Amino acid sequence: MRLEHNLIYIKDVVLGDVNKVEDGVLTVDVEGLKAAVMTDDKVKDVKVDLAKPGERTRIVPVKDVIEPRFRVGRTNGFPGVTTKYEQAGDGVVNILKGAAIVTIGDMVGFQEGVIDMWGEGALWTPFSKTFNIVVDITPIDGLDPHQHEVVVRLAGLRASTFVGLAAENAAIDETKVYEIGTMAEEEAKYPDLPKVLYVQMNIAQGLLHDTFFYGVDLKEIIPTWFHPFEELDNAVISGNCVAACDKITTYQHQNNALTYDLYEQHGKTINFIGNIFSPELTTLDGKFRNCDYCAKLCHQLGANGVIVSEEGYGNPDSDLVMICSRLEKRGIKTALVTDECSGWDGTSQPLTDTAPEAVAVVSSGNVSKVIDLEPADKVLGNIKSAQTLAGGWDGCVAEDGSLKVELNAVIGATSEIGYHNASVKLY
Amino acid sequence: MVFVEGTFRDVLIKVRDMVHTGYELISHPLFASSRMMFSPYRTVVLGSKRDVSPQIECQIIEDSIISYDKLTARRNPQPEHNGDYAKVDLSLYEATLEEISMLRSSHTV
Repeated sequence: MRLEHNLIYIKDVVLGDVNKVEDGVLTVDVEGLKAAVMTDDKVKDVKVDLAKPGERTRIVPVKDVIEPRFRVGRTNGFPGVTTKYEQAGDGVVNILKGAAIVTIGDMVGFQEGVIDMWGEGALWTPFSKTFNIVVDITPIDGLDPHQHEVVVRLAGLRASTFVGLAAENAAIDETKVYEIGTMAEEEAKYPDLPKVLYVQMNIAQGLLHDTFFYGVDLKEIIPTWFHPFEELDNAVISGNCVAACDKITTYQHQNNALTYDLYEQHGKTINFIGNIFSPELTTLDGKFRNCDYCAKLCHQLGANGVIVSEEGYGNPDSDLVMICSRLEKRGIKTALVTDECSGWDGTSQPLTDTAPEAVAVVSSGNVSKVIDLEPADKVLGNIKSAQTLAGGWDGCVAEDGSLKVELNAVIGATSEIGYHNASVKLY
Repeated sequence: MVFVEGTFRDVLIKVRDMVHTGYELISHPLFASSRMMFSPYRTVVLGSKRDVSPQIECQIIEDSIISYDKLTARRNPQPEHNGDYAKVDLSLYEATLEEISMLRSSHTV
């Protein structure tokens, strides 16, 4: 497959009456955007705002973040979801790099998910650096949380596709080409390099806890092998709402950092032979089946090494270590990427489950770390949700109105696919 | 059906006691997101009683209690959200039943 990412660097965004990019300034046709969202008769109202890096603006509760794009010469949207199915991963995409659609929708009162565009909060989320087009969707009355989630999920995808139209004729700043042949072709080119697979675990458990591949609910599949470029070309979308720090937003699927890093090493230190979805189910039987099947797939494909990334925290920890044990017992070297819940001081046992084989583990951060969020000048979304962010412990709201929150609450703070800001410092 | 009058933690303790006496642990005791750990409600699916539970089931419920305690140590209850937590717990329980159905019942006559 050959995927071309044409990058159009966005330096500012304004609201106007046409979609276009001039000198790096993205203009969004605001009425057109509202009309695109309102094509769903279950949407009662939509508000559009902008949030720019450095502004004292807080966005909460965030439903999803999506990168606006234009798929050149192909169906334009998310195959199998907002358009008819079409093979993804092979073709050209024009990308408004630096812009993001941020959808807001509070389906349940305890929902977290904050993006601060300034101050300490901004340090912890990658979406404080994007020019955000914030789409606040109010559905019609009487929808249950399932229907509400679907309405907001699809509205965000349609909004990103509409704004992405600005990329159709914009001047391209940089083109990145990704190309990987068949397994046989790549093995012939790199016979001495170790074959490496990337296993991506995804939450697949029901309301506010779902992931979709070409629109297929991952709860309903057994682990499957797919081409890394499909995910980079809109084939994967998020239906997650309540694991703010470590859910994979649609934007992060579109820009999976582990896939980019593995591709960067392809042909140099490794032969990158593809990705596998391993859905995180709720039953033990389901977990045993998927973990066994995942390890079997890796073995059958001849992997010498596997990187496994988790999504969420709690019951998925069981899947993570079970996959690791099964792979290592088959002689396949395995590295895990996960966040940790190691208490306010960072000294507690970090994962729910452990296994003696899980010795190569990369931490993407401690979800329990406490940070201070200063009072915002402007809150986009639901002010009550902003208050809910405060951890619910004694002393979490200071006299000056600043909040103490755990990283749990911050979108993308401890991303387990590595698309985040936390890193390691050596002393 | 066993209803535990108490907290999420009390449910975990009841599940632990039942698993240790041989009841099959069918669904994982924890949710998949840290925020749901603050739910006052948790539905866990158990199966029939056997002579002894396998080690993995005992380990999962014990580890779940340790993990739950760690995450919720400093939290105060937020009763204003109880209704929403109940809704999500019920919905995830229904999804679990569907998962069990896909795993097993599709092939029963």
